[in-house]
Amino acid sequence: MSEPLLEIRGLRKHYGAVRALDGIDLQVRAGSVYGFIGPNGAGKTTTIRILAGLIRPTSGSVFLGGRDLRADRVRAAQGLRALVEVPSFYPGLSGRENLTVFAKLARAEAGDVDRLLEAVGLTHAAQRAVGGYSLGMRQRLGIAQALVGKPRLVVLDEPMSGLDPSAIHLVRELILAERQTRGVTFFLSSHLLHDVETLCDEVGIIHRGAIVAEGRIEELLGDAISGYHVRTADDAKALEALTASIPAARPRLHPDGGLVVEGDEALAPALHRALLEVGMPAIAVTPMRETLERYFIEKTDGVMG
Amino acid sequence: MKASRLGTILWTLAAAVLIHGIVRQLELGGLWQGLADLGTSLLPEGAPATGIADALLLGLLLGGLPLLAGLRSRHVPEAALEIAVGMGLTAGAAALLFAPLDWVVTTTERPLLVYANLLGGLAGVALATDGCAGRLRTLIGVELLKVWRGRLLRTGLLVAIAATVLAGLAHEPGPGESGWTRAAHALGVGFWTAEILVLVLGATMVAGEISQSTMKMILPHAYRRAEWVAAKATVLVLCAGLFALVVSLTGILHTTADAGLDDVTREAVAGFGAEEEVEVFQTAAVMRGRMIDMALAATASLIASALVGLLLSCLFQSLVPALSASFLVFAALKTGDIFLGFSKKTLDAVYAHYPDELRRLTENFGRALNESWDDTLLPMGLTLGLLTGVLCLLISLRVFGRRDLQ
Repeated sequence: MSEPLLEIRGLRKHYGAVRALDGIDLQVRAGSVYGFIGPNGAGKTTTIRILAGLIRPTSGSVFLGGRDLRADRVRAAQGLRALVEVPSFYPGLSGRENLTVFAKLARAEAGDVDRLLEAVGLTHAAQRAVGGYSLGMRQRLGIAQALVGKPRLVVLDEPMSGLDPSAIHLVRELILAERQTRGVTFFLSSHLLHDVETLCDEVGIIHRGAIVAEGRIEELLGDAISGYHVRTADDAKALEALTASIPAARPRLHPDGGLVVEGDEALAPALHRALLEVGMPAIAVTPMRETLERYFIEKTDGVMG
Repeated sequence: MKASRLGTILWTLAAAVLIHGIVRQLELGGLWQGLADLGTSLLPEGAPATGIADALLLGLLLGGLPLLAGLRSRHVPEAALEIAVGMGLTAGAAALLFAPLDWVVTTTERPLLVYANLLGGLAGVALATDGCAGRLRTLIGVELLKVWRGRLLRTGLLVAIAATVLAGLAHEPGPGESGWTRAAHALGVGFWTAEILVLVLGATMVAGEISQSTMKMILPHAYRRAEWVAAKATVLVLCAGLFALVVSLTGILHTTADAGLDDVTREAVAGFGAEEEVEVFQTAAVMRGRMIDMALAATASLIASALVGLLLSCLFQSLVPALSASFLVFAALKTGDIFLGFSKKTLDAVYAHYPDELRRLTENFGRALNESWDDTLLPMGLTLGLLTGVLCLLISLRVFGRRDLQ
């Protein structure tokens, strides 16, 4: 396992009696894409704000590349980029000028601005004042500013928010390409668990200011079967039979056809038996693996983001 | 050039100007007098001895400080030769640079140079800190781009020009008044307008960025918050200087074209055997010197106002309270005698409007009163401006460096 690029130790942030963060510990490996998920108010944005230097922690430390971000910010934050919540820009400046401001801050090469404008599909609007940009265009420009220069760690807070499907695809591809070609590490907060599952190697789930689960996605979800998708000749009749015989498996109709039941390998014999008893053998029984969404709900006491 | 070498040079420069400023301010021992006497003996009669004394002192320091550092190395003879040549060249260059400057500010006991040196020294110390110079340069460039491309500065400059010209046009000269009275009126209104504008500009610097949420975009980059504040303060000082320059040039050019800025004269009535004659009250050259004094003091006041705005900007989370507080401070200082019961004298001491002094003088000339010029105006203005500005900057650094930004 490679050295952690980002390491958070015992991070706390209290607002009076409110404990926004209550001692978080996490590590992000260099070159990985780390998904940081949690329900609203769990402490995601507070953590990101501390990383971005907007707020100071009550206690605890953040190390970037081995340097303490608070004690030695200038050196530690070299290559740190962050996009916190909805991106904002100088409305009187054009897209290119705004990106130039961030390129100057990052001491990036002159060609970087054009490369990134093209990468996020904003070349055609580069000369327009940002005040006239749509939310999606701002979001794209925000992604571009986060990638300007030579970033080591890019912190993205809800990067897909406000984007249309094609833009989401573009950003997803951009993240994967930057990671592969330049070895950029991403720390990604998102409510779109499908995106997190697709993009990220590791996740950390934060709930009520504490990390409740952390690790590689495949390790967290494992190979365990979480249920079955069942196809029969008469789904309505099969649902009636399963509800009567194995109600604990919460049988229900699947929107795409067939039925869904919840349970592990031990459920399979009871499932087949119940269907045979009503004279309706299953046409197909497909095991379903654990999803990040189900895992997330389980870890956060059913609180959806 | 390596950063460490550049740092050493900057530290030397900073130390030299700081020591120079302190020596000048405190007139330490016989050193200053000795240098001044040397200057007097070297220069033709009437030339400013202080200018050459400044130059010699700076030359000695710039040469002497590396010599002290060089004594610790093994290459003292070579270093000493280089330093001796360097001292001569530096003294000559400094004489050329500073003597004319000192000529401009001859009416004061504590010339502008002292303050410039002290500020230069402090800036040099900041710049010489590890890598700080490059970061500050970057941030100043970014801030300049933002301010210049924003609407506020350009609109503000147009407003200041318009206010100055309109004030000049609107003033009806009284009997015996010269073009200088019109210029003083125009500059008075121009600087008043500029004062409000730089206060607004200062108030938007941090609070504006927090309000439009751009602060959260720029702060993650690898800079200290103190460097951001220092860059914003530098740009504000430059903007205040630009406002002062634009207002002064507009006032002078407009009045020169309209009424002329000639000698202030008075017609002596014929009688008792004397013929009617025109008496020169004040020459145009003397009046120009007073106007420069006034403009410099007003510039210091503009800079102080801009930094007051910056401080208020650092205290509030959004733009509206910062702007409201700025206007309240401005109004309180301008009308504190009426609404807060402060004595006019106290208010004038704390927040003088320097063009008024020039206006009062020229109006009294119009009444045939040959009033003397207040020689303390410039040192007083510079001292107040410097103290207010430095105090505001220090508090801004402290406040902005420690606050959470939501």
